[in-house]
Amino acid sequence: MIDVKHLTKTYASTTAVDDLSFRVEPGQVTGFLGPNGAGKSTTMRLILGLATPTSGQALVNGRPYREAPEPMREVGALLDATAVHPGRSAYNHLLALAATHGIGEIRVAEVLAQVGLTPVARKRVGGFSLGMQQRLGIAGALLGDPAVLMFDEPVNGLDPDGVRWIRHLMRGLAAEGRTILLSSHLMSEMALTADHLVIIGRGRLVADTPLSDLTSAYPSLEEAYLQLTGSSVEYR
Amino acid sequence: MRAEWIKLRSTASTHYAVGTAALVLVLGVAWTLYVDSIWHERGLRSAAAAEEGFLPVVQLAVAVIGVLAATGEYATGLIRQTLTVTPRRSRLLLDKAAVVALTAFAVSAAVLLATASAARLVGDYPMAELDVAQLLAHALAATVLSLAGLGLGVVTRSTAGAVSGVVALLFVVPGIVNLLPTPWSTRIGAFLLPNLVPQAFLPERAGLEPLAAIGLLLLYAAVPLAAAWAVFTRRDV
Ligand SMILES: Nc1ncnc2c1ncn2[C@@H]1O[C@H](COP(=O)(O)OP(=O)(O)OP(=O)(O)O)[C@@H](O)[C@H]1O
Ligand SMILES: [Mg+2]
Repeated sequence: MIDVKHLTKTYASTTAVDDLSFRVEPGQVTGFLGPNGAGKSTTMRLILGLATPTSGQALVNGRPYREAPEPMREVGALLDATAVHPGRSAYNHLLALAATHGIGEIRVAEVLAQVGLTPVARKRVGGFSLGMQQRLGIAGALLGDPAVLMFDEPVNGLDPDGVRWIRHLMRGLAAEGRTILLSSHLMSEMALTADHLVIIGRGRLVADTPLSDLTSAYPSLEEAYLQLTGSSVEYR
Repeated sequence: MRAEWIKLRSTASTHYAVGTAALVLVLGVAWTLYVDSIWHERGLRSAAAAEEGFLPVVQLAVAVIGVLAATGEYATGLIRQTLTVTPRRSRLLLDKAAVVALTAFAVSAAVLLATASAARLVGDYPMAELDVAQLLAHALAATVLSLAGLGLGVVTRSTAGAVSGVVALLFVVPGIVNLLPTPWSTRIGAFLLPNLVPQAFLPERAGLEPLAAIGLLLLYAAVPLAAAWAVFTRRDV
């Protein structure tokens, strides 16, 4: 479970996250929506302790993430799939991650198979397409078999096959009782994947609601999203 | 620590750096053969042994290993994933330092010993006795430089910036100090990185006590690493 409490992050000129509070519950896919620059990625970095909040806090399974005894077995995260060393092979990339937690080569091979990268496991990551990099990022997140998973725009760059694959993967992971936080700008896809939605605009909470409540009150999720965030869109 | 070792050995740049260091062996042999062919007719009393002449190349190569261990992660953005799986930052920095130090020492000691032995095997010209302790001290200095590179890499997050820092320590500052008027050039020169190992082994030369020289040498690693720790444990990524 992820518990965000009055989280605020101010950079020199902007307040990226502004007194934000919400919870991400286990057993469902929580969609994380908001216009460009709304603060989704920043919130995820704050949850992971990569950035220090100006005030407030984020708890994962009841404690700050940095205090987790075995971080990788608690949380898996895909923030930026292109952030890999281009010269390293997919296999070595995952092996280095695995080694931090004494996870063995068998598990590395397992997640490579799960994301469909086994045939290119020994190839340099620099030669991967964006979709393949996303798959590698997902493999890294799954490596520690964590109960909490966060994905920042994982559908970016995937072909229709890949998009559907992610949808089934997310639904499957939630069905196993895991906590899933998933950001995306693709409303139609989100409508098919998420159970619950957290929508933010300009760093503030706009909506925290079951998907069904929005789709019954509005003609479509896209319509709901556009109306709810209409006043907080910064860049057009 | 195993994770850092896998990362280090699985990048091409590490291989290039080790390759450059190893190239010194070849250059050293070539140098020795060349000096051999000329020392008689030129009437040389003695000439630098190969490992001495090419020492800076070895030092710079392993320093780059240290720099890239840090900046490689910043340049690619991998640092975020690294800190996601190992959020304890002090521990991560310690692991990186340990892997860099062990690699740098092993590589530089092996290259220097191999070059020195090969030079004495193929060369007939008069050169200094092979002094294993001194060679290991040079390897230690190379290790110090690679740790300084790691520290500067973490602080600057830029390969160019950190390599410039290392080059400054190794070449630029000694070059400038050399240009100072005489009493000062030697007085200040005594404290410079490239001059510390010689002072530890040639105590008859005026300068620092051997132990002080080695202690100061270690400071050249400790200060950048402490600075790295101070910013790394606080800074957002
Ligand atoms: N390191 C930083 N320094 C300064 N400003 C930052 C930093 N990181 C984020 N910001 C600012 O914080 C705001 C939120 O950015 P963030 O990346 O979290 O948005 P986002 O919701 O993920 O947007 P997108 O949908 O485009 O990915 C933006 O205005 C951004 O410019
Ligand atoms: Mg973002």
